[in-house]
Amino acid sequence: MFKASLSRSVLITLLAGLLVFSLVVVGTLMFKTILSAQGRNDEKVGGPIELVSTRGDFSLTDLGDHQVAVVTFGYTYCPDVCPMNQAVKKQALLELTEEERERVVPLMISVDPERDSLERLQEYTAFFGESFIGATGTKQQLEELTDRYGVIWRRVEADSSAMGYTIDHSASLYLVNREGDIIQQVLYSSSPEGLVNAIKDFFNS
Amino acid sequence: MLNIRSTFLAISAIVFSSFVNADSLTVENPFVREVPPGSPATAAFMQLYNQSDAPVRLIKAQNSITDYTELHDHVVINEVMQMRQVDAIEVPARGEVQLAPGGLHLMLIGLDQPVKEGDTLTFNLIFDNGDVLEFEAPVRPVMPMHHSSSSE
Repeated sequence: MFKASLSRSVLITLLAGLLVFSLVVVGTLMFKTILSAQGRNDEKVGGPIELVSTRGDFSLTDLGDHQVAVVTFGYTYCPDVCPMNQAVKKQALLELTEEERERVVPLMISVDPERDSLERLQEYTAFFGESFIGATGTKQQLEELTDRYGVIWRRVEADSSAMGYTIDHSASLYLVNREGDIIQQVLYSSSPEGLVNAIKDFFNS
Repeated sequence: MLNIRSTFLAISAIVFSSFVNADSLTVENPFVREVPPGSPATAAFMQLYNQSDAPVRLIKAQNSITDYTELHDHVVINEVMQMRQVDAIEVPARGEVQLAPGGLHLMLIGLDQPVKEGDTLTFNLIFDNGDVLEFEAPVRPVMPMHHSSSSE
């Protein structure tokens, strides 16, 4: 009797241990799955940017060896961050010498191809300066490109708004060379300082 | 003489009470953001003050140039900019609320032509206590913060 109850308690302990162990395993797996579903590939490989643009077909490979593109993602409905990003690029360009300025290609990629025609982008980017280029692509092209650059964007339905939908998007600026290497990612700011420093670092490297 | 003056006072009292009637609600530093041609929308920013002892909610807005004036908020999560429509903007009792770049704003949707520096728009803000705030707001260009290439 005593023996039986002992073996039973051993059994219960074992079972309890097994239960805890499997819960930990399952929990860890679930956590990892959630992480990989939410978080994205952290590696930003950059790579080619080939899109239709306000200058015809745009490709990074058209840049000179000594040039750098300042790339942002946005859409023309965006009343705050996107114009500010362009204004910051414009201000940064003004703080460079003329020779330096010619080495910088400001590029805005619209992630709202449904509404942002090249005509609209032309009007929009020209406002900030002759050198500003607007580009966009098909949804598939943009998804593939932004994935490589670690850029997040998603369409969010806004049924009660006259906008119909808004687009969440990364606000960072990317310095990219003709090979598609991300030289530096500059976090969104209403001051051009970070961008100016990044550009100067590139020139001095 | 006295009569004229008191008449003037009476009239101005009426004008004031009907205009910035919201004795308890005031607006400061309102402005509309100049946006590039091609932009279908722009934003208006301001500070709203509530001198009364009860919170008041801004529930509706109108402006003189676009059909739609919506209440929107901006949040940044991990460098991702997210704009959302909100139902109301609360001005706390004896407090204020900031409508500022990067946060709450009025979204003016349906621009037929670009708004430019020098333009002035008229706004009507309607609150849940029945108050209406009417005011004008100038258009201001997007100005990056000044950056002086300091000691390097």
